[in-house]
Formats: sequence, C-alpha cells, structure tokens
Amino acid sequence: MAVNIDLDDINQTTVYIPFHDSDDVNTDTTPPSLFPERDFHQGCQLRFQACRAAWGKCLKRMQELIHSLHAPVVESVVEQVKKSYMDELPGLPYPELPVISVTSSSMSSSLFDEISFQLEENTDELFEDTNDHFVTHVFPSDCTTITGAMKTIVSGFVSRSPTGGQDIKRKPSTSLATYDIALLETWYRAVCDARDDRHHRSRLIVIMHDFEQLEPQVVQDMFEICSSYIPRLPLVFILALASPPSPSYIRATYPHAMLALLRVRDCPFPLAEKSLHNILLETFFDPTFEPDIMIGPTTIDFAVEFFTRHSSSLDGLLSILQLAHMKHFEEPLSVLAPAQALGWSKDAAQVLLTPDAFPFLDALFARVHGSTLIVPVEHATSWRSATVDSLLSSVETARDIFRLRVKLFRVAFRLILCVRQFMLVHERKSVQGDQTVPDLMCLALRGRLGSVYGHLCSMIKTLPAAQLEDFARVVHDFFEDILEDVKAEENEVISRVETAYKMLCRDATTQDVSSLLGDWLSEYFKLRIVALEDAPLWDIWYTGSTPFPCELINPSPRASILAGLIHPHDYISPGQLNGDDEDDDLPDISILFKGYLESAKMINVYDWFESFVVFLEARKRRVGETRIADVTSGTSRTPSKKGKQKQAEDKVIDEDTGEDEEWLVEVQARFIHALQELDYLGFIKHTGRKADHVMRTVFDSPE
Amino acid sequence: MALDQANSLSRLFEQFPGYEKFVSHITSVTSSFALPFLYITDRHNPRITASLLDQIYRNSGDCPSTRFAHINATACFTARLLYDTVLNALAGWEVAWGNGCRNWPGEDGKRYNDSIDSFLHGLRNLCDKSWEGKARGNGRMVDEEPTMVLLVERAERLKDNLPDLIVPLTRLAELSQVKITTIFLSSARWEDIKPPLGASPDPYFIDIDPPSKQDTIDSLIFEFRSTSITQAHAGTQDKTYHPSLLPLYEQYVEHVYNVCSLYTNDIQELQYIAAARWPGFVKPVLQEQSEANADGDSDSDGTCNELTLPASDGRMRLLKFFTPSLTAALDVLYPRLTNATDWALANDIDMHASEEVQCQPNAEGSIVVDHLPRMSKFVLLAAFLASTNPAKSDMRMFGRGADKQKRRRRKSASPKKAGAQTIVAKVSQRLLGPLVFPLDRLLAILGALLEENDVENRPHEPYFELPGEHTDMELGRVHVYAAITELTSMRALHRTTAVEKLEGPPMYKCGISFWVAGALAKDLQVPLNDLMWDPM
Repeated sequence: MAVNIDLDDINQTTVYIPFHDSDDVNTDTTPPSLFPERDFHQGCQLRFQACRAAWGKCLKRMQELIHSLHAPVVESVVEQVKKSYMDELPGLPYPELPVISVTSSSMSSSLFDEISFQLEENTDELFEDTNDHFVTHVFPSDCTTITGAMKTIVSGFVSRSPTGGQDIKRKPSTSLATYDIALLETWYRAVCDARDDRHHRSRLIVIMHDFEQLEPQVVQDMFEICSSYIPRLPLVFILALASPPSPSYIRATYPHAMLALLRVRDCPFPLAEKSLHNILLETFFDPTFEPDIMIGPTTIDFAVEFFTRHSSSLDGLLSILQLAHMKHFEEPLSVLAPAQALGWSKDAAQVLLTPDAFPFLDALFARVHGSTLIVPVEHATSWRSATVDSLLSSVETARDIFRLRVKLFRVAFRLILCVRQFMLVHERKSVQGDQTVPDLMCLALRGRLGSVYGHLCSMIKTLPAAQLEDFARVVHDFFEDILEDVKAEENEVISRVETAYKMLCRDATTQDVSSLLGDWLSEYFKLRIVALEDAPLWDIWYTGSTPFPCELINPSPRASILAGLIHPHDYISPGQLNGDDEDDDLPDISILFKGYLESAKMINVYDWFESFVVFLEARKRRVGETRIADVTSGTSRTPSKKGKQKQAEDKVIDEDTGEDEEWLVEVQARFIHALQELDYLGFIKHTGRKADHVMRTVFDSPE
Repeated sequence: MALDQANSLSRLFEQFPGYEKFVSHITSVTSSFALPFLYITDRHNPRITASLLDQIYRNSGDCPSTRFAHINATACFTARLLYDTVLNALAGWEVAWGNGCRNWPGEDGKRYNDSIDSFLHGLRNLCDKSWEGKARGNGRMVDEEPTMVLLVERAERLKDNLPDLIVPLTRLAELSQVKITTIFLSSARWEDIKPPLGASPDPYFIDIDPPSKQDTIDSLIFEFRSTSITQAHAGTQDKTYHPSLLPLYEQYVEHVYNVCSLYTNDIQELQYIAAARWPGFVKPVLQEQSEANADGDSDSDGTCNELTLPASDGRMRLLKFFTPSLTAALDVLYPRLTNATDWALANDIDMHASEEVQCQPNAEGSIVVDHLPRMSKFVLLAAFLASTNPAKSDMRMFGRGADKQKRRRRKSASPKKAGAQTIVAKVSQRLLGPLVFPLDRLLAILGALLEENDVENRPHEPYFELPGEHTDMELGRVHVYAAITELTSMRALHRTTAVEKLEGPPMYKCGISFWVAGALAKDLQVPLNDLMWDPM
C-alpha cells in the first residue's frame, strides 16, 4: 500500500486515506461449521437446502392458516360496504358517512389487498351480484394537508375513465381543480350514466392506511367535506387502525362534531392469542399435516411467551419458528432430515466417502450404534460390516419410526383435546385448570401429560348414562375420521372403542362400560403420549429441549455494548488473542471506558488523558521488561519470532534515541480516536458548562 | 304568485318552527338589496339555519332574479376552490364530464379563478350576462339588475383557510359593483374572525335564539311527518312511521325531550336519539295491532290504514318502561360510542322477556385492554405515571426503602400543607393533562413497575443472581423500545420531539385516560392508586 501523502505538509488541511481491505477475503461463502469435529465439507450447503425446504413447507401451511383468519374479516367488511346506504335507520336527522374501522395490528397489510380485490373485481355469479365498486388507497404521507388529502381521494377515483374509453382532456386552468370534490361528483355521475346504473349501486371506497398517523385536523376537514356530499356520492371509508378497538382511538381523538357525521362500525379481528394457539395446533399437531421438523417444548414456550409479552404479531411468530428451524439445522446430523438427503445411495456414498467426511461418519456411526436401532446382540459383530449404505438405511429406519411415532402422538393429543372439549361443553369446570392449549402441547411433548389425561379418564368413569353415550359417539367419530394408516396402527384401541360403543347401544350397564372405556383410553394415552426423545436419532427431526436463541429475536444492545467495552476479549475471535495478561492488549476504548466508570458525573478530559498516558506507559514498560528478559534468556527463538524481535529491538533503539515527543503525539491521537468512538456510542455529553469537562451519560454499574 | 309565496312561507314556518321572525326579517333585508354584508351568529344549530337559508333562496318564488350560492368554508379550502364553486353556483352552471369538467366559461373565455381580480371580473361578467338575457327575454325587467346572495357556512373556518379573502368577501358588492349580498353564517362571533385595522365594513348582525322546547318538539314532529311520507313513497311494509302513530310520537318526543334536555337540547341530537329508540318503542304497539289483525284477519293486507293507539294509561306504562333505556341511549349515542342503527338493532327488546336486557354496561366499565401485549401494557402504565406524577416524587414513589409503606404514601399531609402555604387549591395533574417526560424516566419507572409486579410471571433465568439484574436486562431489550415506538404509532403515546432530532433523549406524553390506565392496572394487578402522587 503506497500512501504517497505527506502528512507533515501544512498546506494540506485534509488528507484522504483510501480504504484498502488488506484482509484475505474469504471466497468460500459457507460459514464455518459450529461443530467442525463432526461435520463434512458440503454439509453446510446441504443443510441449508434442507432447512429451506423444511421451513418452506411449514411456512406455506402457516400462511394458509393466517390467510384463513382473514377470510371472515374480509367477508364482513365487504358485506358492510354492500349494505351501506341501504340499511339506514329511518328518521335520522341527516345521512351519516359510513366508516368501517378494521383493527389490523397483528395482521399483514395483504388484508386490504384482499378487501379491495373482493370489492373491485370479484364477481359473485350465483346472484349476478357484481362487486363493481371503486377503491382508492390513502396513505399518511399523502395527507399532510387537506389539499393533498382531497387530491389523493379525488384523483384516486377520477384517474379511472368512467366510460372505459379515451379520457377527455381537462384544461388545468379552466376546469375544476383536481382536489375539488365537485370533480368527483361529476365523474360519478358520468360513471352511473355510462353503466346505466340508475340506483347508484357502485360505492366509492376509500381505504385509509395507518389511520393513526394521519393529521387529525386534516381528517376532520376531509370527513366534513365528504359528508356534505353524501348520499350523492356514496363514499365509504375503511380505516386501517393499529390500535385496539377499545379504548377506541377514533373516539378519543376526534371531537363530537365530527363523530356525529360518521357512522362508525368496528370490524375487530379475533383475539390474537387465540389465533396463535390455533396456528400452532394446526401446524404441528394436525394428524393430516407432517412438518419436516417437529418443534420442541422450549420453542413453543418461547413463542407463546414472546407473543403475549412483547409483540402479538403473527409475523413475529413466523420469524421465531424460522429461527428455530435455522438453529436446528446447525447440527451436522440434521443434514439427514429430509428423505434421501444426500441423493440416492450411490451419490450419498460418494459424498460421504471422502476423507473430510470421516468425522461426520464417525459421529453418525457412534449415534446409530448407541441407539436402539441395532439389536444389542449384534453389537459386537455389526460394526465390522458397517458401510455407508447400511448406516444410511439405519437412518431411514429411524426416520420411519420417528414419523410414525409423531403421527400417533398427534392423533392421541388431538383425542385428549377432543375429550377435554367434550368435558368443557358438559360443564365440568374442573377440567379447565389453568392450562392453555400450548401448555398442554409442552406437557405432552415432555411426556408429562399423565395427570391431565388421568384426570380426564377418571371423569369419564363418572359420566352419567346419557352423556356417556354422547361421549362414546364422539370418540367413535374421532377415530372414524382419522387417516387409514393410523387406523391400521391403532386397531386395538379402535376396536375397544367400537366394543364400548356397541355395548352402550345394547344398553349395557353404564357403570361397567364407563370404567372400561376410561381404562382403555388411559392405557392408549399412556402408550402414545411419550417424550419424543426416546426415539432413535430423534434429534435429526425434533428440536427437543434445545434452548431457543432468544438473544437473536430480542437482543439487549445496551447490555451488549457495555459488556463489549468491559470484556472486549469475549468478543474478539480467539485467533487474535495472544497475550495472557489481560491488561496488555485492551483496546484503547476499553482503557478509556475503565476511567469513565471510575469517574464522577463530570469528567475532566485532561485528567482522563493523563490516566490514559499513565496506563499506556506502564504497559510499554512491562512490554519492555519482558522483552529484555527475552533478550537475556533468549536461546530458543523461532524464526518467526525473530522478525518480531528485531522490530522490537529497533523500537528499543528508537526509544533510546529519545523520541518521546512522537510517542506522546501518537498517544494523543489514540486518545482522541477512542474518545470519539465513545462519543459516537453516546457515552459522552458535551455540556460546555465547565471548561475541559464532559458529562457522563451512563451511570449503571455493570458487572 | 302571492299565494305561492304565502304557501312556501308557511311551509318554511312549519318546517322550521321558531324561525318565523328570522325568515321574515331576512327576506325583507335581502330581497331589496339593502345590505351588502350580513353576519348571522347561531351558536346552537348552524346546520339547520343553513338549510333554512338554502331553502329560502333556492326556491324563492318572490324574487326570481336572485341568484344564490351556498358554500361551506371548510370545503373551500383554497381560493381557487372558492371562486370556482361560487361562480358555478351563481351561474347555475352544471359541470359535465363530457366537456372536460369545464367551469362556467363566461363569454370572454378567460379564467376567473386565479386571483380575486379575475373573480370580481367574473362576477361582473355574470351579472351583465344574466341581465342581458333577462333584458332580451322580457322587456319588463330591464331596469332591474339581478341580485345575488352568497351564503358562507362555517365562516369561522375562513380565518384559518383563507384569511386573505375575508376582507374582499365582506366588500364584495362594493368591489365588484354587483348587487351581491354576502351572508356569513357561523357559530363564532364576528369579533373573533374580524380582520384587523377595520379593513372590513361592520356587518348587519342577526343572532339566532336558542330553540324553545315547543319549537324543538315541533320540528321533531315535522321530521316524523316527512319520514312517514318518504317511507310511504318507498312503499315499505314497515309501519314504524305510519302517519296514524303521530299522536303517540308527539307524546314520545316530549318525553324524550324531558329526559334528555338536561344534557343536550340540540335538535339533531335529540332527533338522533329519538330515531334510535322509536322502532323499539313502537314495536309493542305494532305487535298488538298485528295480533288483533290476525284475530280478525279480514283486512290484514295493508288496507287497514288506521292503527289504533293504546289508551292513555297504556301510553304512560310504555313511557315509564322505556325511560331507563332512553338514558342508556343518551349515554351511548351522545358520545357516539356506537351508532343509532346498531344501537336500535341491539336494543330491539322483546316486551315479554326484557327484564335482564336493561343492564347496558356503562362506558367506563367496559374498557377492554386485552389486545395489547403485556409489555406494552406496562409501558403505557409507566407512561401514565410519568405523565401524572411530578418528576421529583419518583424517588419517593418508586424507591425501595426499608420503610417503603411510610414513604410511598402521600398521607394526608397535602391539605395541611396547602392550607399553610396558599389558599388556592391545586388542581390535580390528572385533570390538567399529561406532562412531558423523557424516555429515560419512562424506562426507569417501567423498571420499577416490572421489578415490583412482573418478576413472578417471568420465566426463570438462572444466570441472573443479583436482585433487579434481570429486570435491568429486560429493560434494555429491543422489543421494549419497539413497544414504545408501536404505542407511539398507535397514538397511545405522543412523541413531542421531532424524530430527526438526535440530541438529547426523546420526550413523550401519555395519550391514555385515567380510566384506561385503571383498567390496565387492574389487568396487570398493579396498585395504581398507591403509585400515584395525587391519588383519587
């Protein structure tokens, strides 16, 4: 790097030092494995692909579920728009402007696209009911002034030609202004004429996004203007609110005079928490859907906790689950998660029979042989004949076992929920407990649901005759509906339920049947609700109890910065650590920060600098001493050390020549640099109240 | 013609009871173009007065040469909009999409909307043109220049929107040399919007008196009649507004007035409430009728035009029965917590099984706060405390001392102190509105709240050993800041410093009421009253 700049030139006030990335740029984009001792070269890439596929499947399912949450809301909004101006109460003093407020805090904005699609284009052929309404969108950025707001609304509609043909040119000077609502009225008349719509059925819908961000004064004027034009202009407003319907933002912000002009109807979403439970249940505990990766109780716990505590947004839930997937695929073995992960067996063998895959194979071998996949008797002999193929086929077997187990687990869990629901409906309050559905999920995944189903089964035994028959039918129907392959597995319990059902139909004594049924179901649950960790190689498909990396979702930057300043060594990658004495290679900013923590509210910058100098001098002296010690004792010098030593010796000579001044300039520059960094981080406040002093901004005592 | 005039006047008197004097006053003032500038102050029902004026001038039979423009100062928020609207209305020009939404073209093809001068020119032009037209049409009226009336509704808004136009508008006749009367209709006084330095001439003032009880009732009854006419035209089977119910309605309206007039005597509000309750009120009567008809079933096909009304004791019972629901309607509908249509549907009660429906939850008890995440609730509560407690009290309120109960309580020292120092009673901060507080203070109070009330609900983390360490960690988390930002975007918190400003901590103000804070505290099981410096 040739920097031909003369730093001593006084005529140059500013010097540009170009940035040269001297570090070797790592051309290999794959990040280093966290477990290099049992990973192989392509592992990361393959795991990444597997993760993408697994998450994609899960995401698709969840998006469908979220979408289905939207449907009823969209439907009710569309219904209300259609009915507007028709279902008015007779005898009101003046027509009211219909306003529909939709609370969309936890929902994505696609909702409004759906609504406008439904209103504009969707045609209900059954009733020849064309939804040919006009929709325009208003965003807060358009509405800083009333002129802008009206212009957006008017031109949003008027830009569409009423006749569908060529638009007639309007002269800007002698025609109506583009923000004049009279223009909209003229346009609407033309539309109605063109469509031969004598009853004026088309509505003009204005969707106002982020309604809270709009300037209340502007909104007030806008509503007043619009309300003076109804019902000649059938305007309908849809407000997208982020705030909850109660306490209502609209009623708290706007005066009575404006509210009296509107007819506000709320369209609330179902409670976010309920949708969360539903989505979790339908994604991971639905017998008909098999996610590639089963999430464990810690992840469910974290997701629910985060959802109720910090942000009840379903997008947040998606991020959490995606992160859980990514975390899961950090484990080298998880490369085997999808079926035929490594291609067909031949390719697989090729991939795995390279020298750098041996650690991986080794680990896999150890796991397979440590599991129940290999019959203990064969242990002594089988390891000799183990090949890559046989290992992979063992993994296949393990996969099948795990799949089946999870599937049966889900069915049993759903049955428990079903029984619980039945008991709740029949007003057995004691079942409720304080467990929510996610709580039950976690308990079940940990295999600790015994007390819950025990309780339920004991309640079955006390059911009166009429309810028992209902109950038997419910259970019977439940097993009727499940998939065929599960039926084959569960024929024992199914036949038992069948028996009980028939017995009840034949009027057997309720007592016998109920206690039998209770015992049978209890047995069945006991068999199926077991911790998934018991399956061989479970950790390939199941995240288990691995702690969730919550720092990634909800970090604490302040704590991290403080910790970084106090213990910089924890953040510097281990390769760069060389000294054993901690003080010796503290970065300048950390040295400064130490002084910062020890000082009072105001810091004298000069004193600070002095202490910095003292610290550096002490360090320099120490380095000098060790070096001198090295020189005197120095017999075992490695060649690489030699160069360094020589440099140091040069330095010693420099020092000896007495360039103290230069050293001081360097120290001062380093001080200023570090001070600037602290300033940039916001630790310093320049008050100017006291000369040479700056103020501390952080007063916590870390540690 | 005279008959016509008398007819229309009597119709007006009927529609707008209590305005008789005003109507004769104003028609006499404007018909002879005596005054160029009128100022009408109506503090009660400017909307009704506006529609009355509109009707007087729009279908005025007495002076056919009157041209009339009715504009709303809110709607005309730019000068151009005002010029266009006024000229189009005065010229009776219908803007059509087919010709490119052209404004009234005049005859010289110039634009009249770019400045006050061209507007005046347009006015002059309009006047000449219509005069000419008249002159050519019938020679009798040649000598009579057409008069014009410009009615500006909500004139108080001119002051914000078009302050420069007030003076020209008040001197319109003088400036344009046209017989034009400008009427400002406003709920504010002229003194409040008068331009400085006497630039405008003083107007001719007319004040509208508040409507008397009888006027209010009469106008509501008129509305009933017109509704029943429109209903009959629409051909609905619904008999809610059947003309023969009128006597019952009169009694009903009087009752509504008696119940509600304590809180509002705005005609339109009363009409709103009356309209919401009437279908439910009249339902038992109609039901009885239809039952009677079904028994007789001779003429049940709608030919029976007369409905028999209940006897006087029956009416009294009806009124008594519905009194509580009228106050409930007032409670909910006057602040528009819901709308009349939905309220009428929800309260469409059955006479026979109505005892338990009456318990309408009152507005304050029904605040539901379960839409927010837990941390946001704590943030809001902390913001409320920061906005109501004085900053110097924080240490005492939230500090964890040995004898915290003693310190925390404000005790009854305040009256003593107040008595000793000053006689002026201090108004509670809760009533004065929220104080501004910096972000740091919010976080500190939030930390105190979390430490006291949230530790048990948090999942246990083994690596935090010191007391309060975990709370400290939680406070610094990104999602706490995200919650604050989100609440700001919901306007539950107001940020008072600009977003671009980096210097200094951002300042906030709390946007929730005491009642919401109370509901939040109840939900979180925080003893809010103990934490307030000035408890309830």
